[in-house]
Amino acid sequence: MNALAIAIWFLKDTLQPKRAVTAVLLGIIGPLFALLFRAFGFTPAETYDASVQLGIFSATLVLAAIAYGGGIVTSEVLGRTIPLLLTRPVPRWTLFMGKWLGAIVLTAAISVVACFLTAVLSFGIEFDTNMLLRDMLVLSAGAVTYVSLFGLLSVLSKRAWLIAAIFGFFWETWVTYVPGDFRRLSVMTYLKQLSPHADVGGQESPLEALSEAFQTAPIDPLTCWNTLAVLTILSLAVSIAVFSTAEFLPTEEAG
Amino acid sequence: MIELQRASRWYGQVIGVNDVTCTIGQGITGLLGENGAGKSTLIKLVTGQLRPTTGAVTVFGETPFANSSVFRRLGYCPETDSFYEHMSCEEFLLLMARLSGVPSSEAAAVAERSLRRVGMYDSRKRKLGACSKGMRQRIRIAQAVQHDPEVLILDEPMSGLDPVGRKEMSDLLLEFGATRTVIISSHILYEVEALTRSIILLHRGRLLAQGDVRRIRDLIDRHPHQVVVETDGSARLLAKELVGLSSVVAARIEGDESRLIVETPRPDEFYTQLRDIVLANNIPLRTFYSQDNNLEAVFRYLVKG
Repeated sequence: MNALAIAIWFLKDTLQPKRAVTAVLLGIIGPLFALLFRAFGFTPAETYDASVQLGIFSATLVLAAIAYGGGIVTSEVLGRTIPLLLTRPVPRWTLFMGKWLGAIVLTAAISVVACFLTAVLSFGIEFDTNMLLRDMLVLSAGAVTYVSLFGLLSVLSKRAWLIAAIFGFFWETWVTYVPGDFRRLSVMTYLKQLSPHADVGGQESPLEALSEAFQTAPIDPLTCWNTLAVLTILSLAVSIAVFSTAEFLPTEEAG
Repeated sequence: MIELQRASRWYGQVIGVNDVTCTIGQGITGLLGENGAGKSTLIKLVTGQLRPTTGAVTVFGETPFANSSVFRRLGYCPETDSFYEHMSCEEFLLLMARLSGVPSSEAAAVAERSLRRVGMYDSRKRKLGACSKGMRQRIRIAQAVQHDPEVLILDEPMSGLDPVGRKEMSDLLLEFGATRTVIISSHILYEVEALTRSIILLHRGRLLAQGDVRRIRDLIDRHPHQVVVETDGSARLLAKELVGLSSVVAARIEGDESRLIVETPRPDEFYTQLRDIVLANNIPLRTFYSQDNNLEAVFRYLVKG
């Protein structure tokens, strides 16, 4: 069984009717924001910008990556199914790559579909195709990077979901407000640089105004793409190296 | 086929397997020991889930840890009762067949054969989460044997099976053990005894004994055998006659004067003398049997002796 076949199995398995509920719930966050903002009288552009930022980049993308990327190994260890996989004639790197690939496809697909629905709900059928394609591309890149990072966490810790959630919702949010170049330690910084959206209402909070006053120049797109690529490759390489050589036992049997 | 050379495995400060050297060949081998004796650790070493801290473990001459060429020829039934609960029995076996190297074109036929083999074909569409413990056990065994491995390792395979299921599984394992290497770990000793006389006895991580249960029994002959004699209320009379014999070292009455337990270092001589005494005194004897003719007694003697 090769990595592609494992990825297909992962996708089929995760999208079984009962389990697909999670994917649907993740996918409707952005569109729900769009409906809400439209109901409050925001313009189509404001609605789309706010919904994509708050609902998709900060919620759907990160949550899906946590759920599927953080569970690549952790779900098997906590579910005590890991011996069933690790005693099969499938190289460990293939197992990891298969589930990694499946998690990326799923995370990207949910985010991209959510983005499209948000655009339709914001603009109707007259949306800016270039902007939508750019957002979809950046969301896909975000899916690759986040799933790789959280996949690494799943190899290193049984608490991968918790650590990924702290990273995704605490670090990724607050590091952007730290003066100086600290924001470069956040994946979201690069995604937002590649896919900039105006802030809702156009008014900055005092915290945002203060942080902007201390921040350096914008990061150029090439640096953003390179950083995301390096993070992905490093995470994947370390994940495969550790997964191929470490011992994994079901939770209650370790030690 | 399977070889451990001074293999030890530590979990931090706790030792799982301590300096074990043994070879396991074709046929069924029972892996016995109390809880915490190291049975599961030894199985995890052999199935390549753990590495030995010191020493070496080889299967087919190769180190098993994360070794696909070993896993291709090995079937493993884990102790943990864990599955992908949302899958049906058929879906699960299909996945396991594919992961075991069965081509996709043959996987359905292989899974169907396995389902029939363990008597689960009619329940093939049932979700694993909705299966009884016995059904889950059958599926656990099916996934281990379906790719026809040369070595089959089963951790507590009879757990949860009803008597009919145990008989069917025993027949399946006996069939497998006739031509392949099968290791069965169990704490239910009579189950292992019904399948094999070849045992490995572990105690606190150490190899206590290995070989034919009768040969191991010879090792403990210095300990008295226990013989239970059941009469119709004449145990005290019989005890009085028996305690004077040179072949009897102790006798005690249990229950309502009908059950006598005799300890003898020379059972053959004792049985002859028992017959003579019973006939001479016209003692109504219901039954007599040796408590030592099972693995429980062997284990008890070796651990406590």
